[in-house]
Amino acid sequence: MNTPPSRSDSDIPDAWETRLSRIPLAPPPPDLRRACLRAEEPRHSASGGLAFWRAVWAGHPWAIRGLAAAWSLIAALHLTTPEVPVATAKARTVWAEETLKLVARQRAELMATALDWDRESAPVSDESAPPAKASDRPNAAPSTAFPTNRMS
Amino acid sequence: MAAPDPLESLYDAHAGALFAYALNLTRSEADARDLLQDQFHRLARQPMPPTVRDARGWLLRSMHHLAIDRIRRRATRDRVADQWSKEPLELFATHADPDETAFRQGLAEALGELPEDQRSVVHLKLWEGLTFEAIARLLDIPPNTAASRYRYGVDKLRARLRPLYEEIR
Repeated sequence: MNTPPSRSDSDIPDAWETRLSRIPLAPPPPDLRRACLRAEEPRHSASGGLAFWRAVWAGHPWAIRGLAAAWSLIAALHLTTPEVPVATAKARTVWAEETLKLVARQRAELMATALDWDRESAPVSDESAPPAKASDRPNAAPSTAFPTNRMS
Repeated sequence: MAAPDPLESLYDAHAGALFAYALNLTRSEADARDLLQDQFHRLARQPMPPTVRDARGWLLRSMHHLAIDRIRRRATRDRVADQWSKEPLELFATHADPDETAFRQGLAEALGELPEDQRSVVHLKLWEGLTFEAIARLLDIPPNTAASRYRYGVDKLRARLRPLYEEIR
């Protein structure tokens, strides 16, 4: 690429440059004078917050759009989810406690039934009974001692 | 008789040149309007220092920085700055002759195709009549750089507009 010769200020402009330089520039719009000479700055002072968000928008458009989308989603979920009254919430809590009690009662009954089944299925004589281990029933009596209620 | 408001005097003397320079650099009338308002609102808050001897040069330098800052922020905001730079602008005064109007429109478009650094030097040289020394001081560049940019820019305009120029001559 050929570097064009630099010019000095003493060089006389050629016809092309003279032609261009004589084209008059357009004047500024007439309404701009009043806006420029106004003491206040309504564009800035009236909306400082808006100017801030404009600046943020200019610098980080995708972050702001993502934030707006997330906020919209949260608002939409908030609006579409039915509110649960306090009374209903308490009723649900009572129901849950009742359920727990019921489950506990059923569990106790089941345990009792299992114990009864265990007692009924236990061997009667020493020959048929397997040797009991102390570790199987840690708090139980020694294997040689049969429960007294079973014999009664 | 009341003395004229110094800000009004400044506006009447320099607003045309400042607006045209901002318009040529930013290629957006809305931006040029904003920048001129910004500049005069700043002047209203903080007047030009009394030590400034060349008011036009001082104002053009200030406008140059404002315009470059605006162009950079706009480029960050979106990537259509190139497209904006090619939009036809009312940079020059209208003329009764349609051929001359077409030439001026072509010139405005061709200026938009120049790089910003060349465009600013060409504008300051051709329509402000500044010397390369003055342009160099205004843009913080060496005088030779200003002269080179001017030569590149003018040659591009010549090549781009020669058919149109030959047609209407």
